[in-house]
Amino acid sequence: MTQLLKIRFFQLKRDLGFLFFVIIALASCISFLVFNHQKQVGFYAAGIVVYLFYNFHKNRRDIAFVAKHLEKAQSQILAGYQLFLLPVSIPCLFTNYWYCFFILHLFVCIVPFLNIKSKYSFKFSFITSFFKDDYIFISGVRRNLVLLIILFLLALALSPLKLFPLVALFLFNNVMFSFYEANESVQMLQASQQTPKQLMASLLNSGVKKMVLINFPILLINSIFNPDLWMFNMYFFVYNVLILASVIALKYESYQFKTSSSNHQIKLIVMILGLFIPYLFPLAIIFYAQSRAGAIKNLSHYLDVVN
Amino acid sequence: MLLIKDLSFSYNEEPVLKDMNISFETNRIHGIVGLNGSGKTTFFNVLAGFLALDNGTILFNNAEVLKKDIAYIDAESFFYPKLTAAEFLSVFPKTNSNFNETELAHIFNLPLDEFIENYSTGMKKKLLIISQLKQDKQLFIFDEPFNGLDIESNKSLQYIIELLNKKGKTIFIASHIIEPLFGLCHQIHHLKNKNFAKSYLPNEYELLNNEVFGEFDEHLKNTLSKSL
Repeated sequence: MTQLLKIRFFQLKRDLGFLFFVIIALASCISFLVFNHQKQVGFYAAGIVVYLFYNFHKNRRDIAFVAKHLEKAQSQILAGYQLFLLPVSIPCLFTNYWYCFFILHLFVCIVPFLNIKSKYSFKFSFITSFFKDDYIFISGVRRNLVLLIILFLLALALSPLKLFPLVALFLFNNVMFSFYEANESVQMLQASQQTPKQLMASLLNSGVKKMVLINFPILLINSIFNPDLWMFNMYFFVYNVLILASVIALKYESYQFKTSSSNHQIKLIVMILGLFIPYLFPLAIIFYAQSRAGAIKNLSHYLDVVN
Repeated sequence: MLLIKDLSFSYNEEPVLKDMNISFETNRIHGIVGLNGSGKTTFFNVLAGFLALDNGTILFNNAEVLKKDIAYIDAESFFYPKLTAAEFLSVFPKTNSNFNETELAHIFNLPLDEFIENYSTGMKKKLLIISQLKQDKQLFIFDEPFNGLDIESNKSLQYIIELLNKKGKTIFIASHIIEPLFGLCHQIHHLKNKNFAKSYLPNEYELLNNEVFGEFDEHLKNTLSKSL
């Protein structure tokens, strides 16, 4: 019954080491500060926490393995989620949002039982025409088109309001970041005919252009209606670019030509939390710098270092 | 000439290829044979530059092998999700001016507007081959190219390999199915005990079967006769 928790423990020890305890402590402190906030920030925070768990669950590559090889798989997954939720949920008990503790645990209880996969595959040929040979976006948009449209329209509709549009935009960007979880074959990687540095730069450049296209109109409207928020909106965009750069770096840091996907959810969740917890910002920068150096080194096995 | 000098590679401190010294003539078709686990795929991965060497050098026409010059058709490849075959092929630059995507897709019987995940293993292999033929590469590495292919595609692939060779390409093929190699290869090299044990010319191919599989066959027969 505890096999999965043991695996998770080894993963955390390998990926984060002592940093794990620092992050837990920070997450608890921030959770307390967020839920203790005067305004209704607690509800959004609770929503985002549940979404992060859902996103983690949706993108897990070990579900089939767990289901096949571990006893009471869903219970083990559920136990893990409930345990990892505690550093965020316990601080709620000491705030006015004490009931969020139960809401969080209740919603996270449902997550292991959610397995939404479309039975139908639509080609949407306009996606190919729009993104040309950008296979990351062709594939990603095709897999998430409905969700992306809903989130964009929601962000646009709510754009004059405070905070609401940013939550929708954050979720939109998060779906976009998930595009980079699939690995391309080494042949596709080499087709770019770029050096590792050029490849990283071109992917970031392409991703940022799309982020500007989606984020800027909403942030602009939001800043016009809420002039006091323009600085925060700028920070929001810059931080999202940092997450995008890190997602790309994390992918290629661990890229292996025989593996179809990379999974750095733990590091990524820490980075995403930095958007709401400014204290984690330096950690996000460190993660990015580390991952970028690692990615360039790793990619030199698959791409020529000079043109 | 493709020259391999003092090449060693180990995986988790376990030597897989050790002190390898061999030269391969360019513009030739080279077969690589060896029993399961002899290191054929590792040798190809090393040749393609995917694995960091413990020691040694690989020179192609007296220069370092560039990854952009290598076409690698691996035994088991994976494909990006939710892409059609046409979209997949569009990712590759058309540096081979004679390449005709439609004709090749027709020869291999591939519906290019289908999602790749709906393809069979053999179809995926054929798609990968087409993607590599689109580019003008100097060195072609085929790891178990005949596995999973139907009889017509098998024949087509043999013609393609011959044609590539006529265009001056250097080709390496590893195959468990040894017979197609006899008709295709200018030389077949036997990989054994972490090194190349012997290279065979076409007039020596009769010996090859016996020398590669003889010991294994005898051991297998003895073991089976005691076990059944």
